[in-house]
Amino acid sequence: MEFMRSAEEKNEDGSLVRALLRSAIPLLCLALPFHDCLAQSQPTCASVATSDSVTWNTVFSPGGTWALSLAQDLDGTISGTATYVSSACKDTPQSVSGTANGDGTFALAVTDPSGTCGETDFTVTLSGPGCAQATGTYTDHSGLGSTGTVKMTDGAGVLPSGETPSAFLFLETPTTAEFTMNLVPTDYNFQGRAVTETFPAGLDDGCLSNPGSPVIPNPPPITVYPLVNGPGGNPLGTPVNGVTTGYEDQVGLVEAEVNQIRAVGDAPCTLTAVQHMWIDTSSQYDDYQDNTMTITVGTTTMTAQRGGAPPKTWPYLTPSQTRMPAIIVPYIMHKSQ
Amino acid sequence: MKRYSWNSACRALILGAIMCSGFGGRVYAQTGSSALAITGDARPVLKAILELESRYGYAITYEEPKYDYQGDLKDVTQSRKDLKSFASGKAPKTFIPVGGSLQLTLPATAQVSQPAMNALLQQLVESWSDSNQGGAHFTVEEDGAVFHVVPTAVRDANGNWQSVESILAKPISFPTESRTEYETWQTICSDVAANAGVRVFAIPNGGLIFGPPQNAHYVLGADAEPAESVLMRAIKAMGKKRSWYLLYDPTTRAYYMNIDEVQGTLPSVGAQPSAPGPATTPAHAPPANCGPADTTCPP
Repeated sequence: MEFMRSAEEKNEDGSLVRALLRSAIPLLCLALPFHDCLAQSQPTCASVATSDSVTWNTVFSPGGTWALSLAQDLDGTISGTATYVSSACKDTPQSVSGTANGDGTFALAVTDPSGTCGETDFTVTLSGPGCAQATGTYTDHSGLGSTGTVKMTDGAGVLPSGETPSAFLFLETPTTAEFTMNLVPTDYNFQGRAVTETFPAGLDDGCLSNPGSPVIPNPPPITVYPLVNGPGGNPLGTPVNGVTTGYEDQVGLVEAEVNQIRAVGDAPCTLTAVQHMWIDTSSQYDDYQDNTMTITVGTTTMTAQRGGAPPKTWPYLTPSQTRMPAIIVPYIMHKSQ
Repeated sequence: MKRYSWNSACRALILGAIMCSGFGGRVYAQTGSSALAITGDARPVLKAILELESRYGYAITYEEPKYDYQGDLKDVTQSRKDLKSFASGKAPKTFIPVGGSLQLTLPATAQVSQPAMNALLQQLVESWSDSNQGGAHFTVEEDGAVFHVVPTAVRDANGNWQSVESILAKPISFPTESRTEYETWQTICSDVAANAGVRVFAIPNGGLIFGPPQNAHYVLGADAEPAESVLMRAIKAMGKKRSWYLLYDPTTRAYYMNIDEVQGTLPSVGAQPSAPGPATTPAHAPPANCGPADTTCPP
């Protein structure tokens, strides 16, 4: 405990207090019974600002999404600004003041100097790994007197818990399935960050690597998807609370290659690549999900699948040079549709 | 959650591994060694070119002729995966180039000058011709820092050598329009096909489509310009360091225009992009081939 006190004293701006407290937990766990250790390893969150200033993605329900940039002094005084992510007031930053109550709860008030965008009081409790989440209730004093819940997540550190497909698009030239994916939780604003796909194990090639193939196998590429709206951004996915948390990812194979694979008798065959999805967290990237990408070339169909999203199968009856002419008829009908 | 920092060396390792295992046949070479030996490969000249590109960073395009002589082909029908689905002797005939083996003496240095690269490629095509293997002879053309290995002779159906010209030397024309990358390749290949009287398919990036929609458009046209020159302009417009490998498939009797990125350190065909495209690598990207269990990629 001496260690904790000295750490707190040495910290001048309060920003490192919780980090140092957490660093002492492994030492405690060496000396305490397991249950006591667990209790000690879940300390009360002391600050809404783990660094000089933290931006919180804040969702009011009912209501809108705000970005709160908060700082906290050693005495527990909170200050900062609030900006609506989307509303008529999005260009009118408001001020935030508040107090840390010392028990993991925080009282905050948003005030609008211009008087046009209302005033809101709310109380939240910080919790979760890294104290990066907060929940609570709010009261709107703008005249409506409405109340509701508020959920906050630390904008720099939250990892998606997964992805969910929101739309599909299927193309024929080249033969491609396009998956629009939303990050989960879908009500969290991941704007300003980027997800990246990589393929650590490369391509498991069951189709192209035959000796003498006229197609040179390539490793799957690295791709970065900026998760931002507007000009220069990537306005993809399903808007949630006025923000976009999605991106589009394609899986496919050019048509000539499908035909060549069939012509040399390699169909049915499968191409598989395990996709690691990463997201930037502060200055680093963290992996949050793996997706298995699969392309199956059949003799008369082709199927593309991405992770747990439903697969897409084409009635892909393009005439191979060595197949029966009968399949040309449905091919023409298919292409003319 | 384990965190990783970017490690480009890991990426190079997997790319190198894929490069050396793509086509069957074998490449024996190590950095610093003085010999490159390729044995039993359908396209040993191409394989040597890919190895040289990977080592020295120059873009080296490759085109092979249309093989007609049966002695230059290898019948691999009995290796078809679907052989059992046909009655005996009824399976469609499947051929690949007969290929062969070659050995190349490499400089001990990790980098080579442009004249040295030219000399190396001359050594490659001459030693291949002298070996009397396969059905094609090649020559080397130099265009800035880019090298083109193109066919000069091929055996006719009777086995007699005859001169051939690159099918990319003939002029092509198409209207100046805005096209996606894939549409651009398709347009060029379509015109080359019309000139050559043989089908030519565009296969960018190994034909695989992984990643975001390719929405970037490029304005390109050609007016009686050699296809090779148009390809160079297209690659430059797209701003990537790329090369092409025009391979003939005797089974489908068609050309496959592989358009792939060149590994290595030298700038080559690609220059600055003329149109915005999707980002490819972030400044602090995660490792390409480093997983949690990969001890070669430290956090």
